[in-house]
Amino acid sequence: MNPFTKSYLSTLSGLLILSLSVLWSCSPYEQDTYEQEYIVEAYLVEGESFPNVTLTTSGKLFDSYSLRDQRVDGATVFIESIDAGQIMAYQQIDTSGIYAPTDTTLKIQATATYTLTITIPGENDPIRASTTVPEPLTVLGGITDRVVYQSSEQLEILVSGSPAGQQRFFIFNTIAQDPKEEDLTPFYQSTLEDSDGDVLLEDFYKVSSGILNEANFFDGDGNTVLRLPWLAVSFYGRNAIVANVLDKNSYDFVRSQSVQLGGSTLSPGEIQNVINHVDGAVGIFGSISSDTIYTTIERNPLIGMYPL
Amino acid sequence: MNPLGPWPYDSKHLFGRVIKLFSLILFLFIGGWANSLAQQTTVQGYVRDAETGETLLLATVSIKGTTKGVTTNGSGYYSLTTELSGIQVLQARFIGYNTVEQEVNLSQDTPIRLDFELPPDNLTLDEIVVESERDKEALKNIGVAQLKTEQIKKLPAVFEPDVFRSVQLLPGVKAASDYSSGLYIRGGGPDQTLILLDETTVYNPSHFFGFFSTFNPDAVKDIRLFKGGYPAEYGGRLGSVLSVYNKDGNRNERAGGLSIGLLASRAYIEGPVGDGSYMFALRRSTLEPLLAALRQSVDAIPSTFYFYDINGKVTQSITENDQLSIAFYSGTDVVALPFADDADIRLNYGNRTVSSSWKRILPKNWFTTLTFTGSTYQNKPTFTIAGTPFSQRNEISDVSIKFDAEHQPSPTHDLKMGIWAGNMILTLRNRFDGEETFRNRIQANYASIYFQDEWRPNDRWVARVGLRVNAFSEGEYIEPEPRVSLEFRPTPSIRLQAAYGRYSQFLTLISNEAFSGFDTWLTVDEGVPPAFGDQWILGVKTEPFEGYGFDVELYARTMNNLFELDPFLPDAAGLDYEELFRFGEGFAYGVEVFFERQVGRLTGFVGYTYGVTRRKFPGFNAAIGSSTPRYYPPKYDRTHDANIVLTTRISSAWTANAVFSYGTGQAYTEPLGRTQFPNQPWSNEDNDVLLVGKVNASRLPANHRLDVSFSRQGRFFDLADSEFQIQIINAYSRRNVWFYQYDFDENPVKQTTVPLLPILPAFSYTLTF
Repeated sequence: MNPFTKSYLSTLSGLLILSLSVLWSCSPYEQDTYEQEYIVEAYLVEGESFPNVTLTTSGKLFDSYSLRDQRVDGATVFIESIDAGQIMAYQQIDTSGIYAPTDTTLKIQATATYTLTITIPGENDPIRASTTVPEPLTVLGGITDRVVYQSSEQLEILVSGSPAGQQRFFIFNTIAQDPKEEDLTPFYQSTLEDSDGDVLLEDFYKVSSGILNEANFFDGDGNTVLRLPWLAVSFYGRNAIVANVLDKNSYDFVRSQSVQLGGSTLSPGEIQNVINHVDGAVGIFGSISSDTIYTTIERNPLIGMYPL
Repeated sequence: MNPLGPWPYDSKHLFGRVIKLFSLILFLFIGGWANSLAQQTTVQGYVRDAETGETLLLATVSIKGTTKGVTTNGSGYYSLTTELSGIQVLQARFIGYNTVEQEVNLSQDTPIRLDFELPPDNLTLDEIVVESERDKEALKNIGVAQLKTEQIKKLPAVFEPDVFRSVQLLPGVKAASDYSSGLYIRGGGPDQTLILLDETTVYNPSHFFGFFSTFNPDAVKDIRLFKGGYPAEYGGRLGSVLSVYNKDGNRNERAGGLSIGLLASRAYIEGPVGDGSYMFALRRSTLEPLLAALRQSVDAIPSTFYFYDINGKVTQSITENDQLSIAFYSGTDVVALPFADDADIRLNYGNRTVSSSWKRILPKNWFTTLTFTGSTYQNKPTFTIAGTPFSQRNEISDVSIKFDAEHQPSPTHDLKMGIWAGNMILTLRNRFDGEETFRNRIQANYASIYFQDEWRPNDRWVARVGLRVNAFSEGEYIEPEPRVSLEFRPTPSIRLQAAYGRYSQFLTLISNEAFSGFDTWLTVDEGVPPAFGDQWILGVKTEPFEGYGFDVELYARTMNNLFELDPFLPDAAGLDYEELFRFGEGFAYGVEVFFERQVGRLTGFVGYTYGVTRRKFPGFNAAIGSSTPRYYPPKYDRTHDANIVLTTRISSAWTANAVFSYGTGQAYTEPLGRTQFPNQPWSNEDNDVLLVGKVNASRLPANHRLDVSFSRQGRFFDLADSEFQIQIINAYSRRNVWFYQYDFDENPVKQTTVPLLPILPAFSYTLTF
């Protein structure tokens, strides 16, 4: 190696060490430390009484957790709506952080905006959140008293249209009225049997569809025709079918919560906080409109005869 | 979205005007160079393997006793222009081949056609191979790396020799996990690397959920990787280019091979036909017996699971100066997995490509290539659960025509220019419960035009200047991309390099690092502008001792307008196309160090990368109570990444290889707190919710692994050459962590570790006829 090359290599090594040192010192990205947060949960249902409000705190991930231990006592809670001319005071009713309305006769009004205010002793700033209740959802027709499971005739329900052409976001529930293990549909029966005890029969009493956009159900004539997917049926027999329209708070909360533990395009372990619309706390102050019908799901004699 | 309009070569159209202006500049430029051709002589031709007739890429041709030399291009063609005259000796050299010298009489203005055929250098145990710096001329260009197929086949690999997994060993290239062959280069995701197979875009380069790449090593001749700062002849991706060249086939005799492995088996045949050659290679998974055995005792084993790929190429020399070739590739993965009663998943995805090229040597030192390409990608996952079907159909159909020309107007200038135009149809359709819930079909014309000049004013300086203009009809986007690089050689063994380039991208890949079976491509459109970014690179390439290399590169890049599917979108039904996306930005920087030894019995390299990459999307990674986003490292961000690759010949029959990899643990989000929302009217679950701090601010334990392999060369009953390979993946059974899971059924929450590969022995047996 000639002296010229040697000199260059020495310089190169020096520059390399220098640049690595500079780069290593750049872009520190340290993890935050845990801070306890107030947790708020309340859902207004159009046409129903004012709901309970749950006020707790978060817990450390690897500590034992119970709502009772995390409850917040002595808070001042009220919900008011200037639109509806309503104000509702709350009082703590148990040891799980639940605050109940003092008047159960007042009903939640559609399209009204409600504001939740919580004042906690020792805290300077109150917790605040607002929600605007969706337009009422009304089943207009198409109710069938009996439907054969996985037949070509799915349960279709004509519901009131969306206001001003805006797309609504639905969650369906199927709630078994007399759930028995022998009445489980094949998929849920198999899931229960394969779960090694991690899944309980009660987990299937109420099946939720997840969020579905209204555009899935436009029939081309300007109507919204909800068609119950067979996946939503966990039990044969009498079922209540509930269609819920979510407000923005509920939509954001559910869609971000469902991503936290996987199922999205995010990489495993890339976890994001839920989308939060509560000032001064984490949680949800949401509202829904809903309507319920009842139908009987009958067994399909063809199911189980042939491999699916 | 606009309906498809007329192809915009209209003088009233902005794109038409750009092309006209570009053409005028090109004409004036070339015209100027044409006048300087006096008093020069050109020698041009191909450099081939003497045994097989395969063209050799990046071989060096030089005039003996001078520093004048050139390298062959991607077609094995060279063109050497000189002002020397009279009797001269030309040398052709290539790594692993004997040098060939040929005496020529250079007379001015008389071009000479001279093809070289280099005999392979069959090494013996004690031979020492020394490669001169000039042999690696093009490999030492900034941001460039190359892998030989033989090297790929010899390295220990999980189940199958794999092109991408070998590329992942190079500095600056990272893998998402043991289970992924995806290429994460200099802070970019897999979609930021343009994958070309014989000049044709390959959209989904993976099999087996991404476990390994679609490129069958039997069919591949060469792999060239531009990690960054790539030249103007390439475009369409923000980060890098991986160009894979299929074998042309043996022009002299029929040959073939058969390889039996645990996961897949391979066969190929090649030979002469007419005045040319052919090559066909087939690879298919051979998992069925294993799956059938597992099905007796294990639940959730696929009822159908196979993949295959077929490569073929036929090349014909029509005249001494004209060569036609047609190449095709077809690969498919099929999976059917019943995972419960009345529930199954069906996957069917794959690529098909075809390309046809006409390479022509023209008078006055021109080499042109006219290429027609066609590429399709389809992915059709279907879930059926309790009689409710969900399906998605993502298809790309891409046809194009390319014209490239190379010209050496003087000994100091190498020009390249070209135009590429094509039509792409991209379809995305979702169906739920028998009804179509989302449909988007984009038919777009795209085009690009480029010009670049490599100027060597003297032996010490090399400047490369280029401009590429990309256009996409949907949204009417036009992206000019200047590229420039500069190289200074203070001594023959030291190169100081710098490069800058602007890059843009009209496509985005919706993928998951853990599982590539649902890969979905989407394009720009109105309201969805292209991503773009700048790259800056500084490099030093040295040869401190004969046969050793020591290189350092620093890179920095920006990424703007990154568009990707909104991960919080639960349902796309009824949304406008632009509502599917979130738009963000990012940056990356780092240092790569590469030390190699290519002499003696023990050869190999050590690569180290210090890298940082960050992303930012609106509303994402905001602190609790804030909506201001913060930059975060994606999961594949690795601060430190090192690989040691060693090969030694134990005896005339036995060779040993070892690969040791070390990387900073992958980024993950450590949950800090928890809570529950048990009162949701639509749910009867506890609805556990995590509270997190910064996204991906924690690190998994460091990831390291040693893979070793031993190969024995021999004969199979005097019928064929044979190679038996035994390998041990993760030799010391390091339980690297893939990710953590949290079980909320336990109180307190229980964290479980999902590990990466355990120790895995494997073997293969290969026959070569």
